[in-house]
Amino acid sequence: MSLSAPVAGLEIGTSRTVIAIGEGRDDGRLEVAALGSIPSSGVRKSQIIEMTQARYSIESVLKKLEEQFGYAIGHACLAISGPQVRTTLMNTQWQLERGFVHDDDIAEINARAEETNLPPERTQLELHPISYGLDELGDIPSPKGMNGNLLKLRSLCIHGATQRINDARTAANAAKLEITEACFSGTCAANAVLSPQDKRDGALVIDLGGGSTTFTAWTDGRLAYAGVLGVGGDHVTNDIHTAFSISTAQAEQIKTTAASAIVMAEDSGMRVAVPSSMPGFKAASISRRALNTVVNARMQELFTVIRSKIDDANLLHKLNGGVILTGGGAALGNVVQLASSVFGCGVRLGAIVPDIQGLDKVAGVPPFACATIVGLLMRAAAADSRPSFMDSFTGIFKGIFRK
Amino acid sequence: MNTPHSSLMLLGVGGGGAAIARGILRAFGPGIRTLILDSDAQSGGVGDVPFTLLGGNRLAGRGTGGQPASARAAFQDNPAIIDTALEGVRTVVIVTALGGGTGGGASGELLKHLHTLGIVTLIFATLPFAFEGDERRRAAHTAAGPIEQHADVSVFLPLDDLVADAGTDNMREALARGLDTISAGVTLFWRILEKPGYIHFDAERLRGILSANGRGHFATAVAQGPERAQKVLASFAENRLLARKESSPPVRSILVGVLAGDDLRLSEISMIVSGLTAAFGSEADIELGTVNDESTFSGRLAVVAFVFEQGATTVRPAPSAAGQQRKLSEEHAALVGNGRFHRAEKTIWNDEDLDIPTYLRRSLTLDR
Repeated sequence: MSLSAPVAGLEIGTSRTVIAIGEGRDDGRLEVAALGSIPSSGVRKSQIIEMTQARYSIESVLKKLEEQFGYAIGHACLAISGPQVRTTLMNTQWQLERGFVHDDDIAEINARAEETNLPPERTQLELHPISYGLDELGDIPSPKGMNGNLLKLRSLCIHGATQRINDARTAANAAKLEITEACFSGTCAANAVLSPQDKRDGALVIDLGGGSTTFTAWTDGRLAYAGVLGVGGDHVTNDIHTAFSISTAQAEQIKTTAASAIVMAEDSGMRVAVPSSMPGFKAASISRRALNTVVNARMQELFTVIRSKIDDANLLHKLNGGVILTGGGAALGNVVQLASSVFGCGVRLGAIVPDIQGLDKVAGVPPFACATIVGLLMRAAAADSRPSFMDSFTGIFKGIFRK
Repeated sequence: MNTPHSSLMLLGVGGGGAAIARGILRAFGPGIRTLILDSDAQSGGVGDVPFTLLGGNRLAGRGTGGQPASARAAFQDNPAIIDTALEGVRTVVIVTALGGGTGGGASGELLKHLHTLGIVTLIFATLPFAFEGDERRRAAHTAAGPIEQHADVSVFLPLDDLVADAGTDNMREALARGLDTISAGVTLFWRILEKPGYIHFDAERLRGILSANGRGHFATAVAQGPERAQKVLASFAENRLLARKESSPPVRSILVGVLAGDDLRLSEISMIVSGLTAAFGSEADIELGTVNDESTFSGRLAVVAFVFEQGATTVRPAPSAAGQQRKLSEEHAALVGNGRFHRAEKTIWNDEDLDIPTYLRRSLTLDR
């Protein structure tokens, strides 16, 4: 494949600020050429609360990329997440003049759907067609050539708070990084780990972020549901911190090294060492059973809320491809087993789709933890690339209307 | 159908639990208030035991296909499904087998529900044989967490330890022998509660012991002959179900049930109590019950040892109504607040502030 220039993606996460750079390869694949990250500051629940600190984080990553990989970038796609992201089901209608559905009619109703009248405080991120209808007929995947009078389009609009999106743009601009496009992080993560077949089979991708958890359900090859819950790994850390009166740093370390999402029978009587908070202070220990009880309560609640939302959308029984976990939170011990017990279906950690190469050389963290940034690169590459590249992603971006 | 009125109920959950419960009923005879709860309609048998079908709408009586989540969801659909059968019940003894669908999936939710009704619970749960494979063992361990969390006292019985000398390579035989062994053990236990003896130990005394919470270890031994008390103690010493680890919490109490005929001697009781006290620590409280049943135990000495550990299981919500939990949540919210999330938009779900630690909102007590 060829791109006009390296493409970049920016994710201002609650835990880390990440920038990745992708380059096209001759074999048509996208290579993750560089990836830099630092712990975020000034971000809560995926939203900026300290503009100066957020800008500094972005500047630091840009500097790191330049020093380590020799890339100086001026523009990037931006991942948007956090509880400010909402979805709305949209219904659009188009009166047919010819008495049957022509290509022009489909293009017209899609264009009208894009002209969604959101209030000024909301900004559309993505619009995904769900199904067409024709007169009394519904759930038509492709209405072209069919006879009728009134063409209908049902679509899912994903939108965010305009001011929150502008905050992220402002922080990036202040760091001399222009934002070319703002995308929903949930679809980015899903596109990085789902094959077209997964989407047809039905799959739920849960991206366990630091400050929030995004989830997208896919059926019949299309996005059927998207949501964000303002609960993430930060909450697990905070729960441990509160339960055992230890510092947030100690809680974070214990979470990543010793905690389990399920309480095991053998946890009883076992202790977990709490590293000393500073020189001169003795190391302590906490009950493993109590630790895992705290973590289990939080994670079980998180999955149960998501399950409830998916069930309410009547999609639970359509997840034949199972549940896929991504994000840094997916590294938590036994989280797959817990999710499996809550959702009652197969659960796996997300593996990056084979069209993406080179991640292992630059990431330094498990692939599932990089799903959002990789999906963002794919999105940026799709926007930049020539048709040959787009062809390789047919089925992934097909039908997604970008603002 | 036998439905005696008692404040003590035997509840078999899932296919394995139903088999154990029926084994107990066969050995004990009539007089045990029993209920079988299963998602498989075939567990209802011929109507010999009161039966409640779990998840009728969701599972159509066909079982869970080994999926614990299906059983959990089925119970969550209608937790009150067993409430009518529980009228007047104050203590429930649950028997189940972990590793499959219904026992592993429904038991935790069932225990949680019973707790909200103020019913004290004791659960005997078998853990799969090693030869049953890692998947079943993992499923069993996953199920064990919620069970320990919500039961007053939980007893996990690894089938490998229960049938240490199975002496068979046949899976069906080994499983049957495992379930028979636990049936026999619980039957002896039930006799302690229900049959008259010189030192009576009834359901209300059991309820008092169970209410202190903890993990239990349970074993039985039967011997006859002139040195039968020594043989019983030797059997306990070798029993892997009573084996202690360095990491095991201290023992808080021991329930000793002695069942014998008219030839039971005081010196035998004394020897057994002294032996168990020496083995498990002199600080443990001893609760003793005896059964004098010449027709069943003539010449034999049967002993049930129930060892309760300190504070191994204290992670449970208080037996309170939802409103009371919400009140607690509000109190905790005032105390803890939103912590590091106070500057971010609150995350509210079902009127709960999810920024407040879940264990606080659920009023879970942590075993520290």
